[in-house]
Amino acid sequence: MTNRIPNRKSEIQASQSASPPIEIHDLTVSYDKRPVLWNIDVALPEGQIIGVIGPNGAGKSTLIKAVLGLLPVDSGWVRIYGEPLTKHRNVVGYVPQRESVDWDFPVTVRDVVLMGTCGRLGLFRRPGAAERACCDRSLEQVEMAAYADRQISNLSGGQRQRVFLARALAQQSRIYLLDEPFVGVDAATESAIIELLRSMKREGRTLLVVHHDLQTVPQYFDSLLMLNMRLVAFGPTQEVFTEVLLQKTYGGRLTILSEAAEQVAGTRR
Amino acid sequence: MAEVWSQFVRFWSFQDGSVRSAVFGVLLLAVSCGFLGCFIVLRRMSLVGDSLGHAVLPGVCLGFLVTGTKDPTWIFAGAIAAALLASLLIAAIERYTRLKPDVALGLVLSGFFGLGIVLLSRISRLESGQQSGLDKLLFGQASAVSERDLWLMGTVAFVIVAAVLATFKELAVTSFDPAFARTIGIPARAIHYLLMTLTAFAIVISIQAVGVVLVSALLITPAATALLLTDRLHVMVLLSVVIAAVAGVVGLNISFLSNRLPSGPLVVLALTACFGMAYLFGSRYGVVARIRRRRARALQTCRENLLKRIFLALPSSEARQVALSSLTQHPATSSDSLRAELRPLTRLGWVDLEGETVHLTDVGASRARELDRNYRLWELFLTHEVRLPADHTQRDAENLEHLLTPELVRELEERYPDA
Ligand SMILES: Nc1ncnc2c1ncn2[C@@H]1O[C@H](COP(=O)(O)OP(=O)(O)OP(=O)(O)O)[C@@H](O)[C@H]1O
Ligand SMILES: [Mg+2]
Repeated sequence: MTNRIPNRKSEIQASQSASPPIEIHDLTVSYDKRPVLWNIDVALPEGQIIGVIGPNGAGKSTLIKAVLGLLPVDSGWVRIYGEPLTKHRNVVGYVPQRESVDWDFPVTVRDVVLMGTCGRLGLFRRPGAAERACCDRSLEQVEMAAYADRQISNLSGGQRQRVFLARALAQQSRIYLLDEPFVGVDAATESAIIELLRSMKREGRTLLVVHHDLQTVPQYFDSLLMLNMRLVAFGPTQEVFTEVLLQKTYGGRLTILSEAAEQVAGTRR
Repeated sequence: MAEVWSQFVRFWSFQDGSVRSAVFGVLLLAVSCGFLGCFIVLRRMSLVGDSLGHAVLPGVCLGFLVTGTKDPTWIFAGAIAAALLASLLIAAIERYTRLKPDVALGLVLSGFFGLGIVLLSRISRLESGQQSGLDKLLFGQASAVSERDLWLMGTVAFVIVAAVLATFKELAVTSFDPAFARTIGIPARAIHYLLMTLTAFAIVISIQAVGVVLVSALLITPAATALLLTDRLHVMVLLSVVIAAVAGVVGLNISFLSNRLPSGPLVVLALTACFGMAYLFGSRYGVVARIRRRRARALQTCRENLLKRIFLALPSSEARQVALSSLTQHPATSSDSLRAELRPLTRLGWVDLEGETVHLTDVGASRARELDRNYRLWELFLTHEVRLPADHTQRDAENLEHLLTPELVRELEERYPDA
């Protein structure tokens, strides 16, 4: 019994290096009983920047939220390093869409970034010197140190995106899910962000990035996940970023799938 | 008049036992509601407070009917039960119908309150009900707060403060970004239910002093006022406690002086007055401060434009003196009004006026040079980057040179090193 525990630990470590950072199996997700993601099957490789593309309403944000356990799923499962998410709460960092929060909230930039350290602090403990240092470092990495004591409502769109990134950096996660980090930022900020993502990748982290600008896809992403309610394709960017697959992802509305979704919703009501 | 004064003295000397309990009770409420109200407001749950306030009435009446007396324990139990039942119903309606939250709140609020009023009118027909003063619970009567009530209020206030302090970080994160909070393992739903339960408790201990109809104001108004005055969460919490305490005691005082006007509406009016003052006179978001800032900016623009006119009127780059008469031509002004306009500049130490000569000081000259440079930098920026035609740029540049921050100027200088 006594030597079971170390054994289990090494098993976990072994399985961690063997299992992909994110494995999605037969995932179906619905809103109001209408499915918006159908039977997604994919295993993401470690240490890459992976793009997620698809038209509006394709379910990109939904996929991210489902991976994070923010939505109930109809079927299937998500595993993080071979285990359910509940075991790995702080292993997955999340950079939501900017509009998802109220920027008039009475907190400063530093307060928001400190929130990134709350996951590893646990209940009841306050951020201490170590967390503050980590927060300052994150702010410097996104070049927002000068704004640390500003109230967040005075920030521009690009600065808000940097604050969210700094909060994610402060989480020190191995996996990051980013929802449209490049939307509404200027060219300088965009290149600063992609540089930051690349340096995170060099540290062995895995990044899943929802993206809209097809022009920059080949340059930014190692692998590409093409989504339109179902998984159209997943693979190395140079293999899947083709006319045919893009046409399948964006062209021709998926009327059959949408209609089927309505039917499903009808039978469930 | 003398009567009012002696009552005033009686209130503030705290000799009267009922005054003491009422004031102490209101202070306990201020702490409880100030702490919780901030999170209620930030989570946009203000209507929830109102609904729970109305929903406790039938519970209170049933609690009374059990014993036939105003036993705080039973009334408290009934009120809590009603509040919890109401929140469950609201959640169920939201979940199992297509109705939106505001509708669910409205439905439950009115249904429970209707039932409460029916029960209340039945009770007031009963013999025991007539003396109970239960009808005072509609609008509150703080002088009826008993020592037993105080113990209950004190306990609840202590629990609320302890719970909020212990989970402050979690409350802040879940209020700001609930989805993110869940991804880092904060039990957002548990925190939400904790907040709802504490709110129900706070409402229940408040109804004796402020009444069910207006109790939500105690949660919302101090927090809303505080939010106008600060940009930091913990300052907001402290401020809303202070505001609730001050307004609560002032309201009580007026209720006491006016002899049996219900205390609830007066406390709420005092709170609303605080809000009005913050709205008008708040240093950052207040209306008056805004107007003053705008006027100060306009004045500054006038002064700096005059300074620049003096600077440009100097006969040579070395010269520092210019005749007053050379400044009165365009725009045409009388020399008297020009003298009046120059007075603030003298006060700022930018110019000295000696007889008919205007003398530019060192400070004034350097400020003028700075303005002139800012003006040119901004004009360059507008023509080069924004590509405004030259005849469009003038006005904009005129105004913006007064507002450019040092950081912006530095950035512009980097762009146009030979400006
Ligand atoms: N909270 C919600 N309730 C009901 N339906 C929703 C909700 N959120 C999204 N949907 C629906 O689910 C579908 C997928 O939405 P999702 O936000 O995942 O798309 P997306 O790919 O992120 O789109 P976008 O590019 O516009 O961000 C859409 O049809 C949308 O209408
Ligand atoms: Mg989206």
